[in-house]
Amino acid sequence: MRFGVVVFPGSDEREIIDGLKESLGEDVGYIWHRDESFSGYDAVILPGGSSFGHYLRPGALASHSPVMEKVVEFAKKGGPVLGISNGFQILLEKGFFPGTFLPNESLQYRCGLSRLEVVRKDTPFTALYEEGEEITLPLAQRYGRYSVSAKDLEILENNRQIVLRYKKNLDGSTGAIAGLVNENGNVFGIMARPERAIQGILGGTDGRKIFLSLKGGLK
Amino acid sequence: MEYILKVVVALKEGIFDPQGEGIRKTLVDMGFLQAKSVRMQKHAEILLEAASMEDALRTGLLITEKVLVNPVLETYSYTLEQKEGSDR
Repeated sequence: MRFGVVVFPGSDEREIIDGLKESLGEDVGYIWHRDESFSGYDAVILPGGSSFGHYLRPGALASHSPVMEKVVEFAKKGGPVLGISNGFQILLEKGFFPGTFLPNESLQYRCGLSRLEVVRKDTPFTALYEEGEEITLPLAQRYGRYSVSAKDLEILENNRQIVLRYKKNLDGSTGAIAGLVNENGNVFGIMARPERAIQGILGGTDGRKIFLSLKGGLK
Repeated sequence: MEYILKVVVALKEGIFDPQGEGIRKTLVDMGFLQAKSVRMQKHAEILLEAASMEDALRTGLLITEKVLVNPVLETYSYTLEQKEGSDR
């Protein structure tokens, strides 16, 4: 299968590409944010980083990049879309998820490992995990505090859109939400960085299964 | 014709402003104990080319609501004026 990684000015796409290509042997291509169309990809990834320097709001400007209309179309047709960290923020700004991202409650840039619980395994992104499985993934963010109204939280819970929760909610995310899918279950936003947990030499491999689940689902 | 749209984007009341609070603490450290609260806002100034004030307003509001403002956290106010000397 072929992964497409969207690149915005300020994106951290390097590790995704390295992790997928070198560690998992996958076929990966770049999609420039100003491209109005792309084709030949089985899954699309929006990377972490600071697209547009987080100007205006994290992910706000990137959400209006020409490529995002095509990403919406790809998602509407059922294509899997993975938004990592800033990618999650971009997907939220584009309207895939309710709520907003606030500065971390600690007001600190959080750079470290977090323990997460896999709440839902029947998604293209978590199929290879067990329900209730605890995994460790690195975080690298300042605006990681997911905040959503009680009303929308109820909708997310009723739709089973919550896929990952923090075991220790250090940054004050509503409901300790660490990862969400859209109603259709094919668009996944995760604040942690699974691409930094592919190669064991970098400290952990718990992120591999997200990419391998995607691969498995499309074979 | 040219119009100048000025938009002030502010956090809604009750939403915590880390930047403002950081500034306030610095002010206190500096001895400005009279500063009880600081809230920072964003001010955007946009030069619009439009056929009329109505046209400029319509575009200006679209820009404001679609791009500049996060309606979950922010409110805004604006002024719109024709730019002096732009009747040509």
